Amino acid sequence: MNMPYVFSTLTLIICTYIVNSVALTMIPSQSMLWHLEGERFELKCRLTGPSPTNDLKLLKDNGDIFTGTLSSKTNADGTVTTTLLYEKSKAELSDAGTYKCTNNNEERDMEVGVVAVTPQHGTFNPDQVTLGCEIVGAESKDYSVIWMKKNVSLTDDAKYSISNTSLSLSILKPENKDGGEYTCNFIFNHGQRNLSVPVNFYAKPHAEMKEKKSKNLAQDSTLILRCTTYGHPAPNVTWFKGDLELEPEKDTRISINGQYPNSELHIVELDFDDRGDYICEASSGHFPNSTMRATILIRIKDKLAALWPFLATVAEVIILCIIIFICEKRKSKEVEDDADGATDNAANAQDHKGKDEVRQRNVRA
Amino acid sequence: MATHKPSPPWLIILASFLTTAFGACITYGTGVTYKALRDRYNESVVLTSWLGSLALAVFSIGGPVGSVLINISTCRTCIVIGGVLNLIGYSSSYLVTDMNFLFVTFGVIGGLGQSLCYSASLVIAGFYFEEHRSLASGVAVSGAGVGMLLMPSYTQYLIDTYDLEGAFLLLGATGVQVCVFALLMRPHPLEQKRKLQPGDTKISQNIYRRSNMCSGCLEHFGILRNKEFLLFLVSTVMWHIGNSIVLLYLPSYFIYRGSSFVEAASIMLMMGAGSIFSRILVGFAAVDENTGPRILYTGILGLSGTATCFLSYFASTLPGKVVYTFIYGLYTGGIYALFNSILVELLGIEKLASSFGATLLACGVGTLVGPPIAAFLVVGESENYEPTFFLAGLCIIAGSIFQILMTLKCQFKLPDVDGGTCAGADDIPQDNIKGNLADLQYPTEIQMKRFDDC
Repeated sequence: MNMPYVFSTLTLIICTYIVNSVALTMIPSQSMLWHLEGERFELKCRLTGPSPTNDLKLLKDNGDIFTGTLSSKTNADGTVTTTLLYEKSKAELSDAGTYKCTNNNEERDMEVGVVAVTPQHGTFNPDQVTLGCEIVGAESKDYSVIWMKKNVSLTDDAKYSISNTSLSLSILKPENKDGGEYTCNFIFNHGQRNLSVPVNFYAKPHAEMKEKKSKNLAQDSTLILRCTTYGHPAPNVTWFKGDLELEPEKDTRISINGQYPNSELHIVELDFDDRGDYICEASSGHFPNSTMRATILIRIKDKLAALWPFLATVAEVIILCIIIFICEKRKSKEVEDDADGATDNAANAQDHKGKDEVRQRNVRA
Repeated sequence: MATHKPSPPWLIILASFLTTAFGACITYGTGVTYKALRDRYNESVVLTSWLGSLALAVFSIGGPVGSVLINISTCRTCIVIGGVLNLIGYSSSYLVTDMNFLFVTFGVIGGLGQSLCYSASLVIAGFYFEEHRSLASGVAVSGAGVGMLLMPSYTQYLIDTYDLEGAFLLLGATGVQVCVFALLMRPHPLEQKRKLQPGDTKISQNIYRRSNMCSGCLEHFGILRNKEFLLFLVSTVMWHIGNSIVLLYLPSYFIYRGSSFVEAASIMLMMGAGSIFSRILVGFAAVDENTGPRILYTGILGLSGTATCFLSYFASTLPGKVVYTFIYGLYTGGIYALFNSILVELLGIEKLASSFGATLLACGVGTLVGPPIAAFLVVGESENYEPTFFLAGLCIIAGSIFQILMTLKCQFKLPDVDGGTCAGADDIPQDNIKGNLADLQYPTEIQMKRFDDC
C-alpha cells in the first residue's frame, strides 16, 4: 500500500546524498555581498567530492578568470574538500559584479557590490548646518540610511531635516553644543551588511562659567569655579589668573579636575593675594584663531567683614529698645501720678467737704 | 502690673506687618542658601534639602509653643523671645563648620524664633481689631508675602557680598529687629484682662501665673473638644496637602509642558505677587457682613481646587499658565487673612492664641505630608504629573467640603459653654468686649473656669 511512498522517499534520500557528496558552494553563501572600498575582499569556492579536483574556476561576468590558491582537505567520512581562495587586500570599485564559481558541471553565482562613501563634514553656522554622505557604487534602491548621534537615531522634526534621498542631514538653528560626531548608517537591503560612517560637525571652542561677573569670598575659604566647554573636536581647557597660567604642580593649593566638557578649579586657603581675574580658556587646533575665554573677578574679603555691620545692627536694636522702654516707663509713671493725684484730690475734697465754704470764703476774701 | 494704654491701631498694623516681614520669612530664603550650602559642604541633595524641611517642621510645631508663651505672658514678650531666638539661631550659624550643627542652629532655634514671631504678630492683630479683624490680619499676613518676595534676593545679596557665614550672621541681625517693633505693640486691654484679677496682689499674681501655665497647656486640648474646630483643623490639613503638592511640582510641570527654566521661575514670582495683593483684598472683602469669612474661605478653596484639577488644560499655553498661577496665588494667599476671624468666631478671642497655634501645626502637618504622597505617585507613574495635580485639587476641594460641613454644623448648634459659639460676629463674647472694657465680670468667669481646668 505504502510502496510508492516508501520508494519516493528512498529516492529522495539517495539523491540528496549524492548531491551532497558532490557539493559546490561559495563562501560567503549569500546572494549578495557588499564591501567598502579599501576593505579586504575574499571569496571562496568549495567543492566536496570523493577526490581532489583541479577543475574549480572563478569567473566574473565580464569574462575575467581569477586564479587563487587551491587547497584540499580530507574529511572524516573519506570525502575530500577542495577550496579555491581568491583574496584581495583592498577592494576597488571595479571589483563589483557577478562572480561565478564553476567546476564544469555546476556553477554558483554571487553578486558583489563595492561602495565608496565620502562624508561631507560641516562647520558651525547659526542658520543651518548640513552634513552629508556621498555613496558611489550603489543605487538608492539597494539601501536605506539612518542618521545617528551618539547612538540616538535622528528623525525629521523641529531640529533636524533629512533629505529625500536621506543622504543629507540638516541641523536647523544649531547651537554650539550640537557640534560633535554624527554617523550615517547604511543598511543594505540584500546582503546583511551595515555600514557606519562618521561625519563631523565642527564647532568652535566655547567656554562659559555659570557665575556672575564677580564674587566675594572670605579669607581662608575655598574657591570653586566650574567651566563648561563645548566644541568639536574637543577643546583644551586652560585656567589663568590674569596672564599667568595656573599650574597645580607648582602650587599645592590649586587643583584642576576634568577637562572637556566640565572643568573645575579648586583653590583652598584663600588669601588676599588671590584677588584677581580668573579665566577659563577653551582652545582647539582645528580653529587656531578662535579661542574663547570666560572671566570672573574674585575678591577676597576679610574674615570678619560681616562682623561690623552685625554689631552695628544689634547695637541699634538695643539702643532703640532702651529708648522705647524708657519712654514707656515715663508715660506709665505719668499715668500713675495722674491717677494718684486724682484720687488724692478726691480724698481731700471729701475730707474737707464741710470746711469748703469756710476755705472758699477765705480765699475770696 | 500697671494697666497700659493700648497703642494706636495704625502702629499695631505697621509693627505687625514689619514683624512678619522681618522676623518670619527668613526661611523663605532657604532655596538660595540650599545652593550655597551644596557648594560649600558638598553633602548629598537629600541631607541639604532636609534642612529646609526641618525649618518648616519646627515652624509648625512652634505654633502651639507660641500659644503657650502668649497665654503665659503677652504677645509682645513672645515676639521679643522670637527675635532673640532668631538672633541666637542664625548668628551662631556663622561659627558652624560642620553642616550637622546647622540643623540645630538654623533649623531648630531659628525656625522656632520665626514661628513665635509669626504667631504672636497675627494674634495681636486679632486682639486689636474686633471690627475689621480680617483686614488687619490681611495686612499683617501680607508682610509674610512681601518677605517671601524679597527674602530670596536679599539672602542672595548677603551671600554674594559676605559669603555664607557672613550672610547667616547678618540674617540674625535682620531677625532681631522685631524686638524693636514688638516694644511698640503694647498689650491690648483684652489681653490684659486675661491676666489681671480684681485687686491683684503679688501672691495672687504668682498663683495666677502658675495656674495660667497649666491651664494654658490644658487649654490646647480643651479646644480640641470643639467639634467645629476639629473640622476646621481637618480642612486645614487637607488643603495644605494639596497646596504643598502644587507648590512643589508646579515649576517642574511647567518645564515639562514646554516652558524654559527662566520662564517657569518668573511665573512662580507672579504667584508671590498675587498673594501679597490678595491677602489685603481678601481681608477687605471678609469685613463685609454679607459675605463673611467662612463663605469666602469655602469659596476660595473650592475654586482653587477645581482650577488645580483642570491644570492640564491651563498648562497647554503660556497665558493659561500665567492665569492659573496668578489665580492660585491670589486665592490661596488670601486665605491666611481669614484665619483670625474664623478662629475668633469659633472659639472666642481668649482662645485665639491657642487655636492659632493649633492651626499653624495643622498647616505644617499638611505641608509635610503632601510631598511624600505626591512623590510616591509621580515616581511610581514616572513623570505622570496629571494624576498628582488631580489629587492635589481633590485635597483642596476636600478642605472646602470640610469647611462647609463645619458651617452647617454651626447653623444647627446651640451656643455652649465649652468653647465659644460659632454663629457669627455679633454674638456674646464680642458684645461683651465691645461694650465695657472696665467690665471685669466676664474675665472672672473665665478665671474660674481656668482654675477648674487645672
